[in-house]
Amino acid sequence: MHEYEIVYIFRSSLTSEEIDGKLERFHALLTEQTGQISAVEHWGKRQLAYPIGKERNGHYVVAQFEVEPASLPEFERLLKLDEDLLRYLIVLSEGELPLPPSMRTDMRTETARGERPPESGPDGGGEPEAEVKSEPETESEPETEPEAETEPEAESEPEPETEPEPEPETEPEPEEEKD
Amino acid sequence: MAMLKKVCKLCERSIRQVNYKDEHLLSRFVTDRGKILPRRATGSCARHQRQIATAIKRARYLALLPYIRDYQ
Ligand SMILES: [Zn+2]
Repeated sequence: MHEYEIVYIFRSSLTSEEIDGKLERFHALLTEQTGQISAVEHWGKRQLAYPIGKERNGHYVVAQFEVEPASLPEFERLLKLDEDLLRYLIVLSEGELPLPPSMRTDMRTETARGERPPESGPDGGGEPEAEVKSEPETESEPETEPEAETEPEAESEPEPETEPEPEPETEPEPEEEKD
Repeated sequence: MAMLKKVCKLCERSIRQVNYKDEHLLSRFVTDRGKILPRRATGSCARHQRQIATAIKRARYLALLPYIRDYQ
């Protein structure tokens, strides 16, 4: 059994009853096969950072569950059949420690960007600490991410290109050693 | 221009795992065009830089962050 986390983005025109109904149906598939849902958190409707199809908003739900990796393909097959599910992402649960409050607040004020949906952080997960590193085989993640949609540049972007920097980075900075 | 010694902000705050759902945190690690900032600009350590990059890619996929921020 592995612990996973899924983020669902539903069409925002759905009612919360409809969404609950879908979640129930999705999750029934997992629990039928010895899986277990440990948390479901509704973020509610929020604006998409870019439109998905014609949709500009989505209803986000995050759930954590434990299941045999072998039952994921069938689960995903079910998800893909649902046209009201704009997108989903399944990743191995990272234990999801809530961020320290100090950080959350001042990070937020520095970046204040207007509307913010209900806090996403402290997922109602119970036993964060111990679980954190329990997943050595991170392999299961790629199997969901890339194939899930058509986003062309999805996982490919290298990351370097930015503004040209005046100074070449010369000093070798022993970052890893301090603290 | 001061060449400030950069310290990894995430280490400083003892963040163990960068969460892809925390787009406010992540938005500090992208340019105003939405590109991932390189380590030399943020001072992040290698481990956190890797986490940041993964988290940003997930957040983009989930439309929590834009792939490219366009100014029209
Ligand atoms: Zn660090």
